[in-house]
Amino acid sequence: MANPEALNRMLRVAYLLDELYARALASATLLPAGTPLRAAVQLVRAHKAGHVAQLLAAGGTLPRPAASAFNFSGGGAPGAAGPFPNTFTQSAELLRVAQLLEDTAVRACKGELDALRGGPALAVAARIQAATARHAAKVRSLRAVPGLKPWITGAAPGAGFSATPVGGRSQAAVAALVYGTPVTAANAPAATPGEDNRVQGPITFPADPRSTEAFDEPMTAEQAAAVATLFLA
Amino acid sequence: MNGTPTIHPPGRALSRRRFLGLAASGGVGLLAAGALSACNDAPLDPAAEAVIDLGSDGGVLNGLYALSQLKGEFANRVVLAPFVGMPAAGVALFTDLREHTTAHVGWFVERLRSRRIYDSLRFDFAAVDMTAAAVVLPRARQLADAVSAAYVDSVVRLRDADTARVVAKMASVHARHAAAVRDLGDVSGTAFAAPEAVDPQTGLERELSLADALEALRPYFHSRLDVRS
Repeated sequence: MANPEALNRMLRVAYLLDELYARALASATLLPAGTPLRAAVQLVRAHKAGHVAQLLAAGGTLPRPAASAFNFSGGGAPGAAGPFPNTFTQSAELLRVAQLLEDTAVRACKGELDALRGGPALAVAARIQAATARHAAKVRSLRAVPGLKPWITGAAPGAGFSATPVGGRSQAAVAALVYGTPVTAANAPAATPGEDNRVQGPITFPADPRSTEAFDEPMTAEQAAAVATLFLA
Repeated sequence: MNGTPTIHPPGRALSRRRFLGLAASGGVGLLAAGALSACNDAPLDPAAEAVIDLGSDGGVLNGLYALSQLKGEFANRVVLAPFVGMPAAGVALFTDLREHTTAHVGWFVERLRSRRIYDSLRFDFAAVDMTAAAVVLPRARQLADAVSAAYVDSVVRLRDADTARVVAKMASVHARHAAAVRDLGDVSGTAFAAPEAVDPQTGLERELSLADALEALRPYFHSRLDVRS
């Protein structure tokens, strides 16, 4: 029988992304009709709805959170002001939030694969990971930030994340939760590495950006929850 | 039909050597730069069939190793001779694909050691007009999608958890590659995850087993691969 806790953690992230895109699409002006941007978001949203259904079918039990539980400003508690006040009024801000949540989803899903090993849900999770990675790549491209690639370079979130704290944290601080902290000689390999990790089993890759881009790192459940909690109580 | 020899231009060999000038964390020195292709523990006869037994972890890794060599070869050819009308962003994209794949190749070499298939598989691009966007782009999409799906299958098949963990890290990168390749020149906004690649009802990456991916891409391989399920 599939591990419902692992599936429920994945469901939490899937609900988060599904709701983000649903609200973005519901806006009259944020994603104009007939644009490739709207078409892309519609497609991703459809996939997220599919992921929710698949995770429930695989044995997940987490019900859909109430609308009031979500806070896409990243303020944590419902209604609390966070560092992303314009998620549904500026497409650039929407894409910043989407980038952080999509890359979190890829890393969190990857972190759950171990828990699902040996069961039928592993294949579902592996296929969700791949589709989510496509979503993440597309969102990163849509941001059109110079130097921001479809893949993650080191622990860099890319330009555009403000350092000004709102409600106790800045956009940049949230991004740091997503991409991790640098691995040092002192904490490797016991520490769960951030995206700038270069140690892959017996091999330590040279300090070249492509070394870190070539491998997406998993997140622990705690790391994923630290991000999700900011947007979903 | 004779296959064309694998191209090893200086740039490609350099980048492979760069990633293979590695330091093992266990303190054991690795191969010196450039020594890889003369490594004593690899099968040296390119005419010998490369046996890929997908029932074993080693076989799965060899299957991915073969696909990585192909993907790297394809990307390298695009970078060295960009098709007519290729945007600058496209060259950067295929360069990254090549470099990432080279990093994966380095990992497979170290992980498999003497159990690996031939390091310089021969490919056959004689029938492929790599100068034409109308030829290269659909093939790039097919290749990228197939490799992404093969990695999904491999993550499920691998029995050793540590091995599966690292392969899973590569898997999502190959999915990112597929999205980016499909995005090249796309005006619809949806090619990155089109129905051919992602099931629109379930949102799941389309399934293609490692065995089926190798079979679908067989025309690119001049070296004979004996794939056993």
